Amino acid sequence: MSAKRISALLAKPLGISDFQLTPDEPTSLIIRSLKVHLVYLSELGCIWAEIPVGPLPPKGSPNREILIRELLEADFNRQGSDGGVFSMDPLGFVFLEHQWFLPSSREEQLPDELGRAVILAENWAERLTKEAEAAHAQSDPNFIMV
Amino acid sequence: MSNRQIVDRMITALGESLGQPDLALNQDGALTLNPSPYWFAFNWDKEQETLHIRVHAGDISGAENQAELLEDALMANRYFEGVAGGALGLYGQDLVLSYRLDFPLVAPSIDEEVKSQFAEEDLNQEITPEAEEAFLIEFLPRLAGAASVFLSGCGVKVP
Repeated sequence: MSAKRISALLAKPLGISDFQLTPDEPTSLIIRSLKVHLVYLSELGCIWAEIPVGPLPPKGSPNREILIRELLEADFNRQGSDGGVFSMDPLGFVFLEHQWFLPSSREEQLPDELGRAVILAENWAERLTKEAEAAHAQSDPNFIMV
Repeated sequence: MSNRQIVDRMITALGESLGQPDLALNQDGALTLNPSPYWFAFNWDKEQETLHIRVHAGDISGAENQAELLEDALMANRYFEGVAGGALGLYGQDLVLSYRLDFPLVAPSIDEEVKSQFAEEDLNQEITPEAEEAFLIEFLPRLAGAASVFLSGCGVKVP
């Protein structure tokens, strides 16, 4: 499957008529409220999507371990992550990642799955923002949540 | 041959290699396999035409620093790179490695070491029926081994 074919598959649902993936070069898209990074890895025949979700509360915050547990529970069998995988970088920033190996019986579902992934990531982003505010409020008595 | 038939053939070949020639997915498309010291579960998703493979990596309740271990697990999921292309997840106190096999099976779905056995195959080409049959036999020990290496690295006693 070529990058052109994948681009065509995604263009209509994304509402971007001239959408064109270049093999092995990351493309960033704003879908709903989030920036999504897409790469077609030509050697692997795989579309990889990365959706930045947000930072965890800092180390030492009581909710950090709880959130990590919840994210890993969502990753169990990829049920709570809707086929994707929640991950974290060394700075504690959470991502939702997806891979689609193509051609595949799942390729027609790619646009729908990507759309659902963004909504799921938005929900988690909102949750992480609230947790960060709560952690900040706990550490700074003068902090006022708006 | 349908994707489900390919999976059935892979499971049969796996069973034969384990001395269990009757090994098969049940009518719900599920199978649990417990070749000591590991534990595997297979689920065929007929909607997605995908085989989900789960490997019980280990019980983390005895880990000295659970918080750090969980951080490492979530980081291992980054880029699907940490544990043989699978994703670590938590079920209670059990760390479970899950892997999703999409069909048609293509050589790049296989990790680098296994892929080298199919070097004559062009990338993005479907692998041969013989290689398909052998896939689980070759891949499951690697998946389990990668999970064990991860946990050992985190100081968790593994089987």
